[in-house]
Amino acid sequence: MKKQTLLTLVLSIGMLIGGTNSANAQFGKLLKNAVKKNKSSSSKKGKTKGKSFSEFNSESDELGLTGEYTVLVGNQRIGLRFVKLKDGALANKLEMYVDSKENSYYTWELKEKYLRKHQLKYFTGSKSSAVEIAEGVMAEMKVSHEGRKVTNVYARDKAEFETWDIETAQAKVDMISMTIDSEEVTSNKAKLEKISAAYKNNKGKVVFAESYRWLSKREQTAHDPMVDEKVFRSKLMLGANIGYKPFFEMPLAVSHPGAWFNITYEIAGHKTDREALRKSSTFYAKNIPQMDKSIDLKGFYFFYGKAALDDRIVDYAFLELLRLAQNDFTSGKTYDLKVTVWAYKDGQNIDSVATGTLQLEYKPKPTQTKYKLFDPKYGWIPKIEGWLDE
Amino acid sequence: MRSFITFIVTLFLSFSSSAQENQNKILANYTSGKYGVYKVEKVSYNKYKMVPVKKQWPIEFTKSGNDISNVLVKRSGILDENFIPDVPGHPAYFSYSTYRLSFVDGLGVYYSWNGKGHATTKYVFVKAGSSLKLKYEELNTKVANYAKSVFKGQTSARANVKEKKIELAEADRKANSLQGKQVSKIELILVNKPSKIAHFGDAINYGIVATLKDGSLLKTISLGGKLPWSDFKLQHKGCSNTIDKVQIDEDAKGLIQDRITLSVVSKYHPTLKAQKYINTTNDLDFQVARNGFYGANRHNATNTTVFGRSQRGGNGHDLTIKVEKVKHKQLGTALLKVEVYDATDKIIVGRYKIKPTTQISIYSLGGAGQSGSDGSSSSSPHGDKGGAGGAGGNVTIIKDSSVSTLNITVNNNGGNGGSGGKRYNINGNNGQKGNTGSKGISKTITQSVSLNF
Repeated sequence: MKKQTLLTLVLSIGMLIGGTNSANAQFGKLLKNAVKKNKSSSSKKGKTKGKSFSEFNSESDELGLTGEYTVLVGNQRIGLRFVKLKDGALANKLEMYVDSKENSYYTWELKEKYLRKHQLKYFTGSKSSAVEIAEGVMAEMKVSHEGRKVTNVYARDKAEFETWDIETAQAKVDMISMTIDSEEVTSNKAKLEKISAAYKNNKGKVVFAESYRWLSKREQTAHDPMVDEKVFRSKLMLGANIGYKPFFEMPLAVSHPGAWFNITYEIAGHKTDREALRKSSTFYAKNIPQMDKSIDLKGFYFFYGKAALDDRIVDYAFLELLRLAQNDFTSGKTYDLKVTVWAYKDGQNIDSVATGTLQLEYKPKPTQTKYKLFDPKYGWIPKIEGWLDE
Repeated sequence: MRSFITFIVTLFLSFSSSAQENQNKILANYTSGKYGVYKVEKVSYNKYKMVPVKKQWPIEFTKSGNDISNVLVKRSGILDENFIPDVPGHPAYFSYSTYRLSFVDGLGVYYSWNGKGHATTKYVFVKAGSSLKLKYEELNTKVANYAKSVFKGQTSARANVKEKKIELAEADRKANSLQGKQVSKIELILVNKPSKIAHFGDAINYGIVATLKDGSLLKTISLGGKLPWSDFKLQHKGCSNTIDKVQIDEDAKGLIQDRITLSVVSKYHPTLKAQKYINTTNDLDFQVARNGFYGANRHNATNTTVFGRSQRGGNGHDLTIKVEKVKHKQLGTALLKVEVYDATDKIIVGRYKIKPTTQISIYSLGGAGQSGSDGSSSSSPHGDKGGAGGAGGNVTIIKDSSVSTLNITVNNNGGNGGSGGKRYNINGNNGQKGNTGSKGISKTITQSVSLNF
């Protein structure tokens, strides 16, 4: 207990002299100046700093948020006031007061959609967001593409901090995020289906093109996968470049949390599996990376098209498939290449999330399939055999 | 040293005693109630320790037979987190969101897993009256080793889960399949029909509708149903032989009847067939490119060793284009058969059927020359001259006397010369631009042509 008090004191002093750590970084930015101004007013250990805003408690508002709060990281008193109307116009703002009872220090705006749909008192601002996680308890968050990270907790009653530490608040915010995100995923999907025929017509499928470049998204912000159905191919020459792109019913992070992607290739009775190959040799472990990029796990499709074969990029699992099937290929014949994208977890393919079949024709001219696959110097099969021999 | 050996031995014994036991067996000794909690606290960079949490957290175990079907962790006593088993018959862990929970050697470890065999502990639960003796790193190792060892024992349980999934999928397939059902007819339905049915045209999306004897309809997924494609044998002609969508053949050899034929046969009712003919429109403009390579690619393109920069661009390929007039076999309208032969590579590039007004743009441009090297030192301050552009290919069009209208444009200019290298300093001169390649010769000859496709 003594140790804990001492630790609290050390941390408090750390705050007072302006030092920041990862937990208080966000709030520290907001309150840094205010804390400096007020540091002379409270120097005793454990005592809440800052002006009293107790008169805020007598005010009432539509959301029941106005009142005096204590801030967990910083042990600072602040005032929060929900403003429904300002100058006769609808404002729906949450104002934070730190060093003045008249002038607000920071303002968040109510996310009306979340209140309407999920009864959430959720506010957004330029530097942070805030949400009520229990009656009289607010969590301040930093929102980025990685999610919502709780940086501080405000409570009307300091005793609430016994329950609502940063981690517990984070767990609650994660639950809230699940609700919000699952609804947003559904609306994003509907939006995507409206703007992209390529997605709408190919959910759950793998589409193919003459190069992965035709299937790569170019901007990170837009929903649109930015691919034109005109480039999709259902038949290509065996040995030629192949790019493909899977479209998913739901992002993998939603449909299979904790899983990542695996891909299997099948042709002429042969099959290769990226994850199985990764475990089979150091060569494949080195050359077949795990497919767990956040941008793909959270998307309705792979951000970049995937190359099975291309001039400078290959999927070694596809090369291995060609190596295995080389003796079964006959000039003039056409073969079905089946590509399946799997949700993979704990060493198992759990569910197929997209699949597609491409016809590959063994073209008879010496400069066509034979050259691409079997040329002793430039053919893919001698190349993979050479690498494996090394 | 002694304590280290003791630790290793203890660790080994603890694994050997619990490694084979799955969570169902371990949790047989657990009851719902309040558990002591330890959480991770950062000490310094990359150093963490476990510290006790004041409040105990309630944990509830739900059983289904002998198996644990759910573990409810009431975080701080207020937030419900429902953990479910990874493999119901033989669980290694229970999962909630991206977190996992495994009970091992009297400890409930709440952790995250990075998929590469590493666990990161977040909380540890201990029975009332017990305390945590292990350090943060030891906990991570313990739970990771435990999980990995149970994964190995999950083979048959996973196989059961897989089997059940397969059974469900098979039941779903059968419910939607024509297998064992009385079917009156099957039909091919086009989801879209592009306005231009021609080489390089848009794909045609289609599906199958089966009408059962009782009047109900089964549709393939492309038409919003679940009728499996595996119920059918595809026998398409003039296009790719693929489900959902087909693409018109790029080689006119497959379009003998000037139409594509979509044809499917039921595997379970071989007398049930559906066919759909779609006439080609042959009116999509396209281009054929057989250009010379860029000078910088000379090494790869010619498979020869090259020295230095300023490489000459490759020549455009010499092409012979034969054209014969025929009639559309379905519509009787005029069509042209066109064969493009690459005399440089000695291969037939393409065989097409087009309307006389359909434009084919032929490109046989000379490749651009490589830029010259920059001056590299005061002793060689001059930039090199850029490589010469390759010559344009010679294009000969041989048309049958029956061909009166032909819309082939030939682009066979020589390639641009590469830019000159920059001088090194004021004493040097910038290199000259390389010479432009000469334009190829284009000619049209009228003589009897007979193309056998």
